[in-house]
Amino acid sequence: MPVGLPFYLGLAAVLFAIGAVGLLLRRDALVLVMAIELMWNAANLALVATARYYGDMGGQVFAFVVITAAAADVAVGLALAVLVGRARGTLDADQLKWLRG
Amino acid sequence: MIAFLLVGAAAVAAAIGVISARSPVHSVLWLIVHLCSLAVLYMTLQAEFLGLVQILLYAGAVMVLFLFVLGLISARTPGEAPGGQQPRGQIGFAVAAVIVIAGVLLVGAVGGALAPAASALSTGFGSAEAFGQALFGPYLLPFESTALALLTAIVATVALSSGHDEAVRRALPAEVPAGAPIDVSHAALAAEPELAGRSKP
Repeated sequence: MPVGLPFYLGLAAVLFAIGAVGLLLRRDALVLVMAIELMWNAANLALVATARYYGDMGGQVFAFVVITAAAADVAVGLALAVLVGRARGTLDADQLKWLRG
Repeated sequence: MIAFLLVGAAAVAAAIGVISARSPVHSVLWLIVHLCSLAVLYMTLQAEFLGLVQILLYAGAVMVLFLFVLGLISARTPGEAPGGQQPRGQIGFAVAAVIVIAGVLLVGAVGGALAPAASALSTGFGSAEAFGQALFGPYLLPFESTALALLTAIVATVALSSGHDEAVRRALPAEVPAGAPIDVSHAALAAEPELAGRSKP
């Protein structure tokens, strides 16, 4: 039985949901960034799978763009984390609440 | 099929490891496993170049960045892992939201069953050559815009980390010594009565 597109899309859905769970449940800012990475990568898997099954390179190119965007996201997010960690001595998202309106 | 099941199970297990590991270092290591298994999945989808990029750029460079920052931060707060360990209280809400997300996505995936079977591929699909032809041909503008995005990220990172600590510290309310547990609520509310009034709904 060949592996069809729904298998890959289902796997991507499961991975995205796991990333969302992590984003909602964890408090460490670094782990939150990692959960966001999980969600980026789930979207990437869906893109590559559809590119394969439609025979179009566009999906792979867009996955490449997504990887670049994720790298930029990580760079800025980690710089912010270092800055906040230095200024506050903690990365607990529940305690970093002075941005609240 | 067997490869898909094995690697897919590894990817799911590693993803669960990322969000359930107690130490952030273990989370990063699980994330590396996850990214490598995704690279294998890309290979099974004949995206060879993308699989290699995934390993080199993601599992290599980005994860090193993670570990570096982790060391930088934990070195400043010895004996205490940065951030909290226990999950927040809203587990029920989180599970409900995730069930909704997964349901919507799975409906989309089942809808994908109506998609055509794998179409015949041109030779060299997913190779570096085909990838380059697509990247510098019809998709030149998105490619150039990633350059702009990276430039923005570099400028932002340098601006953030170029020694404006004092400015940041002054901008934050309720000065506390670094490392002390933070309780902005009482200090800030006592200092600013109108803030206290505003915070009550």
